[in-house]
Amino acid sequence: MRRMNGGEAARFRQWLIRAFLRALLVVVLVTVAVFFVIRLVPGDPAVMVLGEHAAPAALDALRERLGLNLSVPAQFLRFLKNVFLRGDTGDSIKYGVSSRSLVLQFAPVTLLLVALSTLITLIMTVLLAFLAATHRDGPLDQAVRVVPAFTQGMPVFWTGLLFILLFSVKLRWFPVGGLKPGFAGMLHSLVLPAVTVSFGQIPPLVRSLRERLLEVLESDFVTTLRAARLPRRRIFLRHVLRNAFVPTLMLFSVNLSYLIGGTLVVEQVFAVRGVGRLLFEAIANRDFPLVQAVALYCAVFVVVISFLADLIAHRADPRMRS
Amino acid sequence: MKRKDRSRTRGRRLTLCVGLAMMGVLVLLALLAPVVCRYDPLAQDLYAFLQPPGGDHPFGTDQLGRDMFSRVLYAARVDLSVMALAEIIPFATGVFLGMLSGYFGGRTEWLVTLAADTFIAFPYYLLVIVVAFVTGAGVQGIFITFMLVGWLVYARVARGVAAPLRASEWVASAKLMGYSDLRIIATQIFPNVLPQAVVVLMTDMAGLLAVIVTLGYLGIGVAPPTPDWGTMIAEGQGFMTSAWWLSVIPGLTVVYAGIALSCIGDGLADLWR
Amino acid sequence: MEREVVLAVRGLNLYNRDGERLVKDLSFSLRAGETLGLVGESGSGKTLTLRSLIGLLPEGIRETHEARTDNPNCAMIFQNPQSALDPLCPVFRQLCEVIAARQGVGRAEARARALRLLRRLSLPESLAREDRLPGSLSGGQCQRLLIAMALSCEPEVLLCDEPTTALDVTVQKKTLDLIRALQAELGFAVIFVTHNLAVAAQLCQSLAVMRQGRIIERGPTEQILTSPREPYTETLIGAVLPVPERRG
Repeated sequence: MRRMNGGEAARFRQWLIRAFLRALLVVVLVTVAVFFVIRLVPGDPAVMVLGEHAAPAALDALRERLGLNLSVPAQFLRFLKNVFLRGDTGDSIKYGVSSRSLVLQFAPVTLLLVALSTLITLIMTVLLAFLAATHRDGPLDQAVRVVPAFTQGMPVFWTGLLFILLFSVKLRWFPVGGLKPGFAGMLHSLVLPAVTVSFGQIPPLVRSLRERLLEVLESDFVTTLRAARLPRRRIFLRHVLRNAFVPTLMLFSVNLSYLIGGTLVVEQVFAVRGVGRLLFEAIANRDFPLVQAVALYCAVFVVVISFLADLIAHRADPRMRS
Repeated sequence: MKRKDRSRTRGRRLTLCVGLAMMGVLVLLALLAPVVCRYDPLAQDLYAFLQPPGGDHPFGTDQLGRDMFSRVLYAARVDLSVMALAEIIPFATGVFLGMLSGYFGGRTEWLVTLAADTFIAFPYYLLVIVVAFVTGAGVQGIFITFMLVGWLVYARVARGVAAPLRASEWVASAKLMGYSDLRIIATQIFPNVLPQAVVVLMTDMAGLLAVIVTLGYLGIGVAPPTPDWGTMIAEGQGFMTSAWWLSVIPGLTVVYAGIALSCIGDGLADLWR
Repeated sequence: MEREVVLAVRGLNLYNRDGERLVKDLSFSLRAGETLGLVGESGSGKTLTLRSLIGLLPEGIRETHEARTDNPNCAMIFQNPQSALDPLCPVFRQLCEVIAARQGVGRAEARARALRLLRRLSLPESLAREDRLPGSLSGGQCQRLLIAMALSCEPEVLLCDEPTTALDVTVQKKTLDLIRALQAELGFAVIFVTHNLAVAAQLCQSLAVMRQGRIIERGPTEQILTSPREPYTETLIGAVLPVPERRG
C-alpha cells in the first residue's frame, strides 16, 4: 500500500471514526430488531415451551426466568443490559446453558464452512471473470453471460441434493452427510456443502466482476498505458487488477448475507452440526432465547465483516471517502 | 462513435421472447389447471402408487398414488401466486423510499441507508426462518419477511437512478419553473426508475421463488396438503434412487421457472439499456 | 531541403462490426517536424484515424489499407487528462514506470530522468516526494504529465486527440505553447486532432479537413483559411465566431 500524506491520513481517520460509529449504531439497531421480532410471537412463550397442561407453578417459574412478567420496556432494557454489558444473550430453555456457549460451541464448523465456501467462490470468480474479460466474446465469455440465467432459479438445497446424488451416491467421492472425525475428515465432509453454497453465487458474481474488469480495461488510463507500449501483462497486474479490486471487494461484502443464509440451509441438507442445525433445533423446540441469540450473532458477524471490508476498500481507494 | 451491433440486439430480443414464452406456458397451464388436469391433486389412489411417468400419468404418481402432473401444476398456482403477491409491497415501498432518498439526499438518504444497513445485516434465510418461527409455518411468514427485507434491492436501484438526476439540468430547470417536488418525482424520476426496477423485479422473483420452495422443503413454508414444489421435493427425497420423478420433476419445474424469469429480466435489461 | 517522411498512410479504411465504413480511403503523409491539424466535427472519424495510426483500435473495428508505415514511433495524448491516468497510482510512479519500460533503464535512473522531465515541463518537484494521485492534480498539470509520459517514449510523431478541449482557456494556451516549444526543441512531428478550427489554425502549419470519414481538403493552413475549395470547409471557417470589434 502506498503511504498517505498528511491531508489524506486525516480524512481517512475522519471517515474511519464515522464508519465505526455507524457500524456500532447498526449493531444496536440489529439488537433492537431481534428483540422485537421475537416478541411478535403470539401467545404465551411459557405455554409454548411447557405445553398447555403444565402446572401453573412451573409456568410462573418459567415466566419469571424469562422475564416475561416484566413490562415490555423493562424486558427490553434488561435485554440490552445483558447483551451489551455482560455479553449474555439468555439461556437456552431446552439445554439450560447460556446460549452464547452453545453458539460458540457450534460456530467453528459453520465458520469453517463459510471460510471454505468464500475461498472457493473467490478463486473461481476471479479466475472465470479474468478469463472471460480477456478473451472477449470467446466461448467462456459467452458461457459466463448465459449460465447465470440457469443457476439463478436453482434453490440452494436443490443443487445440494443434486450434488449428493451425483458425488456422494453415484461417485462416492464424498460422504452423504454429517462430519467425519478429525480435522482432515471434517474438511473432506465440508467440501461438497461448500461447493453447493458457492455454486449459487459464482455465476452472478462472475458476471458482475467481468463487467467491472471490462470497464477498467476500456478506460482511458489503460489506453494511455497501452499507447506508451507498456507490456500487457504489466498493465494488467499492476494497474487493472488494483482498480478492479475495490469493486470486487464490495461485491463480496454485499454477498456475505446470502452466503451465510445459504450456509444455514446447506447445513440442513448435509446434516452438518453447525449453527444452522442449532437454529433449526431451537425452532423445533420453541427455544426462543436460543433463536434470538443465533439471529443476533449472525447479524453482528455480518456487520463486523462488512465493516472490515469497507475499511480495506477505503484504505485502497481514496475516491470512496468523499 | 459506436453504432449498435445489430446481431447482438437480435440475440437479446430472442432471450426476452424465449423467457416470455416459457413463463407464458407455465402461467397458462397453471391458470387452466382445473381444466387441464385429469386428476385431483389431493386424490389418493393407493393402487396406483409410485408409477413412473407415462400414459395416464404424464409425470407419474407419488407414494400415495396422487397424480404428479396435477400436483405440479397446482403447486405452480400456489407458489407462483405467492411469489407475485409477496413482491408487490416490497417493490412499491422500495422504489418509493429509494426515489425519496436519492432525490432529497441529506437526512432522508442517511435514514434510508441506515434502515437498509440494518436489515441487510440479517442473512436472508435466517430472517425468513426466524419470522417463520414467530408466525408459525405458512405463507404469512414469507410475506412478512419479504416486506421487511425485500424492499432493499429496489431502494438501492431507485436511489441509484434518482441520485444523479437530482443534480441534472432537467430537474434544476423544473424547479426553477416552480414544479413541486412531487410532480418532478412523478413525471421525471419515476419513469426513469421504473424500467430498471422491473428488470430487478424479474431476477428478484426468481430468487424469491427459490426461497419459497426452500422453505417448503424445510417444512416451514407452504403447509401440506396444499401442493408446493418444496414439500414435494422433500417428500420425494426418500425415494430418490427408486422413484426419481417425485423430487426431480418439481425441481426441474422450479429451475424452468427461474430460467424463464432470468431470461425475461436479461432481455428487458438489454432492451431498455 | 526536403525533410524525411516520418509517417505515411494510403487507402486506409476502418469498418465497424456491422460492416459500415467509418473511415474511407484515407491517405496522407507527414514530414519530420511538421504539424498537421486534423479538423472536423464529431463522428468524422478523426479519433479513429489516430487510434489506427498508433495501433490501438477499439474492440470490433477492422482495418484495411493499401500501404502504411510499419510500426511508426508514435506517442499519444488524450482528451481527458485526469481520467487518462491510473487513479490509484501515484503520478510520479506512473511516469517512472513508462520511462523505465521504454528507455530500458533501472529504477534509480528512471527516477532521475523523470525528475528532469518534471522540471522541464514546469511541474512541481513535490510530485516526486509525495505519492500524489491524479485526483489531486489540476487538469493542466495532468495533461503536462501525460505529455511527459509521451515524451519519454521518444516519439517521432506526437498524436494529440483534442488535448486542450477539456481545459480552461488560459491553460489551453499554455499547453499549446508548451507543445510548440517542445516540438521546436525535440523535432517531432505532430498530428493535432480538434473540432476547433481556431486552435488548429494557431498551432498547425497544414490542415486536413475530415468529413464523414474522408479527408475532403488538405493543404497549408494559410491557403485553406483564405481560399478554401470545399463548401464544407467554408462552413467550418464561417462557424468560428469572431471576436466582436470593440467600439470606441
